[in-house]
Amino acid sequence: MPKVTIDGQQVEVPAKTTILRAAKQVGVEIPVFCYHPGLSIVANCRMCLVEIEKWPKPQPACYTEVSEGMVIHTQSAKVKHTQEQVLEFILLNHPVDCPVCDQAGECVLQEHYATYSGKASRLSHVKSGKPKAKPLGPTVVLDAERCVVCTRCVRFCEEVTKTNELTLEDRGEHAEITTPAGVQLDNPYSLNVVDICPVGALTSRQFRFQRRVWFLDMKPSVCTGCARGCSIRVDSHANKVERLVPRYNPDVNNYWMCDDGRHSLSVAGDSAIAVGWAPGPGSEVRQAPAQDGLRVVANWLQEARTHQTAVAIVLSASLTNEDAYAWGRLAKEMAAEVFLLPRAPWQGDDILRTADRDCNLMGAQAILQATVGNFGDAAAFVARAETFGLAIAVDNGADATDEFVDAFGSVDQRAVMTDRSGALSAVAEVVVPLTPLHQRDGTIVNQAGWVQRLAKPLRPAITTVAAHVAAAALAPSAIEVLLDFTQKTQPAELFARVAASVAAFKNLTYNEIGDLGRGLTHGGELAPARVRLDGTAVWEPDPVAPTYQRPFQIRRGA
Amino acid sequence: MGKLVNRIEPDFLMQSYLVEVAKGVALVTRQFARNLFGRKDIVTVQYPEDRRAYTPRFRGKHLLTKRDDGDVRCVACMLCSTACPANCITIVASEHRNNDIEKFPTTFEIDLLKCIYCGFCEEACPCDAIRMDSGVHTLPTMTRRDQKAGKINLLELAKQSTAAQGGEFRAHSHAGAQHGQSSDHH
Repeated sequence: MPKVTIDGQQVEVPAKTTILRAAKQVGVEIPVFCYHPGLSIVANCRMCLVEIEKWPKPQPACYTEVSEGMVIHTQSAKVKHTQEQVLEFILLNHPVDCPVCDQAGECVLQEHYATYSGKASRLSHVKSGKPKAKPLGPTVVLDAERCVVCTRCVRFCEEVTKTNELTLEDRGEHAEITTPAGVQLDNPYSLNVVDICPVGALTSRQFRFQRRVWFLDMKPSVCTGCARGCSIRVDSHANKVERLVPRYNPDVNNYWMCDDGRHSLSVAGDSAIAVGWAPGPGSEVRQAPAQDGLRVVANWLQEARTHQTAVAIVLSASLTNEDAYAWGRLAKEMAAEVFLLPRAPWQGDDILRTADRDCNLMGAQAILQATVGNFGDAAAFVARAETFGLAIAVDNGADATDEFVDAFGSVDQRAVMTDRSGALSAVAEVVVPLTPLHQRDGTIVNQAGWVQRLAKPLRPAITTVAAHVAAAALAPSAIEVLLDFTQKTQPAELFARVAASVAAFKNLTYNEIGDLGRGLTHGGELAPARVRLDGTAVWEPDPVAPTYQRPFQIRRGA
Repeated sequence: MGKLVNRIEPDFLMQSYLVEVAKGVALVTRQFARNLFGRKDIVTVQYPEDRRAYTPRFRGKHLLTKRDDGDVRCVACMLCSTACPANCITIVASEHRNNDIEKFPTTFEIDLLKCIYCGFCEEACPCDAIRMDSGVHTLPTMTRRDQKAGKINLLELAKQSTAAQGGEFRAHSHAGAQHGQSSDHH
């Protein structure tokens, strides 16, 4: 283990550690443009040059490995002069159109300029003009003038997606990111290049010009698009989600997320419902908030109990653990049969996307096994549909087969609880609007058994109700355990009830899960933080991982 | 510190009011005579026929300036709505057909009832696009809706901006280069 001195501080780091990482360990910040911890190192931006004693010239900190006895200076006059010159060079042809640039406010160049240079331009020449607002593909727009040629995007397409759509054309001040003739930047992970672009050269077509970033409220959450459960940050403004960006989580998604995950909210928005419907007086059907629909369903359940009618509860695998627990307990007490209805799989890949599109299949299965014991699948429901007098689906059945929808439609009394319209809500008598997952608290388990917390970035509509609250509202007062499942119960308390009665979650607490998640315990002891699922290695938080935290916050009245 | 005022203790003559009333009548009569025979130091203005001129720094109703081609100068950077303490500016940005301009407001609405006329918006504007030197007093209206000034309404008062046209870095390279930026203030 070589011992090095960085700005007078001694630190011992493993061999092959770069100066950049060693410096971060002693709290020394070294500015970078081209370096990204998830990509290979090219050292082409020269922003991280540091001075090493007995070395003739400044060396790139991101690339140079430490050696025994190295003495490194990052604050010397020589280094500061180098940084100023590198910034002047990068800004030579940069348009500095910050007022119209979407990156302003989260721009690495802006921050580095303010921190390391602040000098006025000495250019008395015409800047080199390059294409602006040039579409690279269906999702990404390029402003070539703003590009600082760090090639993060090129390396991303080479190393992560291995699709090689982007390339660097020409040299010097004419260097420009482009796609080969006839090729478009069109892969399922294309929008990651927008996140890793340190300046505003690459912008997302979806988010472009929608909102200045300093207006956004940022909350850590989990993508619910598939069973991977990528750690994300939800950026919202005025109770509307503006964009989803990935959060670094080495156990789940590293630095990336897929484009479908980012769009999952806007797709939901098309068919989202805030008001359900319920039978009114006579034969008319009228729009109804959740409370009205739940009253009707509660009456049906009461009748079913007195007349000994068989009740079926069809649960989605995209419910939170708390929801699955509440519905499992309700089904157990009402002696209802439970069926799990997963969504149709999609095309998975070996980067992030899993074929299973349900965000909580593993959690729902574990909880239903613990609360109800036996539960059926879609085929079992179809086979026995005519024996039921009442069917409650906590799902919209968007991917349900026609057979399943017909079977559901043939039941006498049909209630659907959902956050968006679908095949099942079309044949339902009562639709109770549920609060969508991105407006909810709760926990979900990904396909590898990693438990993560959803954030609640938005205020839900008052006409909707969380799925676990709906279960509690339907339960007769005898079921004491569900009495606490109200709208006001803290998510930590809800999770504590699940953890207490489901072996898979034993010893887990809501606080322990934290922003990065914890593995299921399966009845055993809670593993120490940051132990991988296979229990083999303890990972250290990556010191140079992007935090995606904004350096300042603007407080506003509305 | 407030100003100390000596209270006058009224003596017998004052309390009788006779002398004081006579003094008051004399003052009013003198003033009346002066006004009648046309002295020049009258403060009263014959409003609404005559109006006082506003100072050049008067912050009146907002206006949006125009480009040389008559299009709106604003590039929808939202700095005015960021600076606005009353949160009264609503801008919806869109892609401009000219790639060099890039961004322009499809909606630019100021809620004049919310506005506190502080002038932060014109100070924040990097393009000299929003100004408050119209000299127009915002008038009362019959509905709240009429107090929402939209883009068309704000452009009606438009003046030619005194700043050079923004976004033309290449033509004015000397002016812009010294500041190292393309929005060129003089």
